[in-house]
Amino acid sequence: MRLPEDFTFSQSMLQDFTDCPRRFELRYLLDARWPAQETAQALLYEAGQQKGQEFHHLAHQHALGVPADVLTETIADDDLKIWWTRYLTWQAANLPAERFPELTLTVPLADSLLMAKYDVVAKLADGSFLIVDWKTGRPQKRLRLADRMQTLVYPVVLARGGDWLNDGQPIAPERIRLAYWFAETGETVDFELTAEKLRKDEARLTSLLQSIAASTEFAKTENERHCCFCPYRSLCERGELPGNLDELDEEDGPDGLSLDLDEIEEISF
Amino acid sequence: MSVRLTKKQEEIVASPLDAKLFLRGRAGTGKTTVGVWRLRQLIAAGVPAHSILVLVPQKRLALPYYNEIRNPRRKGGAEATVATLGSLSHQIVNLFWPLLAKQLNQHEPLRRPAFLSSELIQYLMFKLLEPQIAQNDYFNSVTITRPRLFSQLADNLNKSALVGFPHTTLAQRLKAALPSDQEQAHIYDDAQTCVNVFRAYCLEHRLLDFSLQVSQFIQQLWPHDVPRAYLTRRYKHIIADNLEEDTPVTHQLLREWLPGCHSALLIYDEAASYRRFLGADEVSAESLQELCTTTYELDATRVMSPAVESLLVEISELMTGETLDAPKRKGETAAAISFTPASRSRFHTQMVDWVADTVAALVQEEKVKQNQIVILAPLMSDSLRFSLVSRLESRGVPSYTLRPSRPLHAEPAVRALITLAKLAHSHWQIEPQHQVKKFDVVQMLLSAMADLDLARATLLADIRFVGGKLLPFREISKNPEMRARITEVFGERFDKLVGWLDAYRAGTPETIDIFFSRLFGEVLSQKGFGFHFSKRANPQNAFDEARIVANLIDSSRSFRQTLDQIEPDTDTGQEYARMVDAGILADQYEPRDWKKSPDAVLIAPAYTFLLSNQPVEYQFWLNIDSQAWTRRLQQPLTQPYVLSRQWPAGRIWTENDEQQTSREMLLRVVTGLLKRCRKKIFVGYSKFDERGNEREGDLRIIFDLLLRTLNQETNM
Repeated sequence: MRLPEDFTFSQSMLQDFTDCPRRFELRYLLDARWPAQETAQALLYEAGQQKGQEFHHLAHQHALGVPADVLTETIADDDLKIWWTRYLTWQAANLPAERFPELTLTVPLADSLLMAKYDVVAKLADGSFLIVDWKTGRPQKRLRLADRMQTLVYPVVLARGGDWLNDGQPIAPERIRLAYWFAETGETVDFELTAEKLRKDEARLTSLLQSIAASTEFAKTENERHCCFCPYRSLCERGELPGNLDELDEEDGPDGLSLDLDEIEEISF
Repeated sequence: MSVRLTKKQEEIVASPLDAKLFLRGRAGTGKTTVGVWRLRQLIAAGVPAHSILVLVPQKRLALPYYNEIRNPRRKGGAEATVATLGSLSHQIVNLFWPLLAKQLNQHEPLRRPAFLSSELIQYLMFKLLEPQIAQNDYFNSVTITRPRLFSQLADNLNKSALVGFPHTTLAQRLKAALPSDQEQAHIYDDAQTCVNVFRAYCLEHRLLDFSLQVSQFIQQLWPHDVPRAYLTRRYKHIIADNLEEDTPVTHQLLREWLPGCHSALLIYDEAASYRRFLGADEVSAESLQELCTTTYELDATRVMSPAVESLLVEISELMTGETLDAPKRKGETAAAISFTPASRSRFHTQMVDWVADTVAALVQEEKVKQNQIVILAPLMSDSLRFSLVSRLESRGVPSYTLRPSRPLHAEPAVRALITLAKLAHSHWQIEPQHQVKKFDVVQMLLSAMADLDLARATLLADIRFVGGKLLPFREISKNPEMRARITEVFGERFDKLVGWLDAYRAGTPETIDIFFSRLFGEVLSQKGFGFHFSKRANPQNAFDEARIVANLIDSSRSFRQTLDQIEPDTDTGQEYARMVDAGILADQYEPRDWKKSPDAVLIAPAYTFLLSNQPVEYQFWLNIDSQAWTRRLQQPLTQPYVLSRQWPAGRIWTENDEQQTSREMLLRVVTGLLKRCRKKIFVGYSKFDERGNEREGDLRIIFDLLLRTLNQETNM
């Protein structure tokens, strides 16, 4: 299938393609909505997602100037209160007052567009740039995060499309850092960019985009465990019942599963 | 964009980066093209796209801007924001609501408000107002359906927010301008009482319908330092297109915003304002010209062929009685118009056949692109749409439809799921007329089970639907002949469905949306069932049906989440099913891929096409005898002209006003359509209309006059 000319890739699309090309095809090329359950604990999953969205929304409101004390009064959930307190402490020490929340950058790459939707991008006092991604799900190990498309895409897109944040000058790769901040611990896992890494990552992304554009067949994943948490399960004839959240073990993480509590849709006009 | 700009267009696009420009002109003169190129020019010149706001009255009108934003050859960086007043106010209220918490409800100052979809507005009005209407005998002389009545109440509230007057003065304004009989005055008073009750309820429960969302934004947040600083510091460059289709409060917002902007391009289409019934105000739009440093006018059409332009002049002269100082090319006009031949214009079906044949000939013989043809009628009924779609399909021409929403329960897939929900929730208290009947079971089985025919579905319902329950097929032991007629294959599938329902009933009930989703995933989309994705001839059908179910699930989830906030003890599933049955809930979700124009013939109501602002080569105008070309919709509870900012206080609406606005409306529609036509219009006429009646509409009279003129020209 030929990609539409205006097709815009994002990290979650690339993650989907990496995990299961058929899911990528169904979701983004065929635009197929398939409204089956992703997990047996649907309400629990919904509550987790809502809490994550609520947290992202609070951080967004705060970045736009709504006073922290006013926002604190709006929080009823106990977990959220704890996350919020951790956030206030961390951001006060690590982020400048002026920051760009919910920022979308898009860059041309391999005859397509590649988009990144950031929770926050901030220019620090030393002139370097910090990308922060709020994670409200279970904390992830560095090794696992390093393998995520998000870790690849976010710094590359900022390096190639963030010059307007830097007075019109390209941002040097060494001045870009990506931090995953975990609400459960208040700690971060950081990834630095270098010129060499940018070159390699960009080459890898280019190759991936080109291989997707050239694909005519989109195979189903070989790891059928992924299918337990995928709504297209019945379409692919890969089972009837959705997976149980409590069967997710440490090794599963959100990687490779369609289900991801951290996959928070950004709020757009 | 491959379009080449004229010198004048180039001049406007290349204006200084701090220019504030007002661009006016007729439709089809290339104003939006200038807007898109100006967007590109600003970004190329180093303006951060992040600081550019493209403001349009409705998002479909932003399609050319979306295309530019998604252009892979564009410069990398942030994206310009495309917004409508609705999306902007939603965003700002959603982000800054804690700053207005006390205005919403002082007793519960810091709970997040809920935004009401139009379905939820209908539901809450039904729930809240229906008992009062019944008890007080409100609207007793009004014969419209409840959904239409509620939508006019909501429309009145929206007018107050968009035009900018207190909602408490609605009846007073209507009665002052329309002092007809006592009965009508009562209707306005009843409407006022109802909107007051609804507004008080929304404030008490922190519910934001569209009107409250807009008024909170305009009256509370826009004047507030924090949100205003966010908007004005971020968006320094504004491109506002189709200003004439926007509302006075949007114009007021721009009036206050523009002085602090670095640049602006305001685009104004003359003789349009098709959204007047939604509050559009061309006078307040035009007044923004005074805020701009330079005004440009584009007058040469970039769309119409000389023949269509000549036709436009002929028709305009016939309709206005004035002689225009414009080119008329004798002999050429006829090339731009074609009428249903006499041999095919007696019955409506003959005319529809002629339309389908002509479209097929254009596509297959003349190689016209399918998306360069539209078929228009003033109103697009289900039957007309079906007639056209099926005829085009049989001739190998794909088509798609744009039309207002229709009730959810009109979809067979939705009715099947509602029937199954009722069977699974036997404790629901359902009004007798909406309890599951054998007919519903048959229809449900036809949707739910793959390849099942009507005869077997009826047999299954006859013998296995007993006492409001489905009984297993396997328990038919005394009637082997019946088993054989139904077949074991269908029997097994039936039992799987029944077994799933029994197991569900034995457990704790799920929320209605989760019930639908589980049923879909665990049974209905599995092999052997109606929503299964097999390698069908047209897999798109499976996706379309699944999309209807997905919309149902989204709608029911949103319903449940909002209702849980305000009425936590209500059984949302039962309420939801009741509302679908009553036709209160409608499928108002975006059609798939609305940002892309499918490669297919468009079938749409004329106004919908006009508001999409996309010119085409060929247009078919159907049902030209319909009064709907000239008459406003019957709206006994509201009146768009009187509730406008331009209506002088104390002036009375007369029959003369009605006739004048009808004439003006027809003129605008006809000229608006022609300005969006590149090559030719085909006029679909039949002596008898869809219902077999013989009518003579105003548009037909104009075409008769035109024919006479054209014949005279030919004979000269």
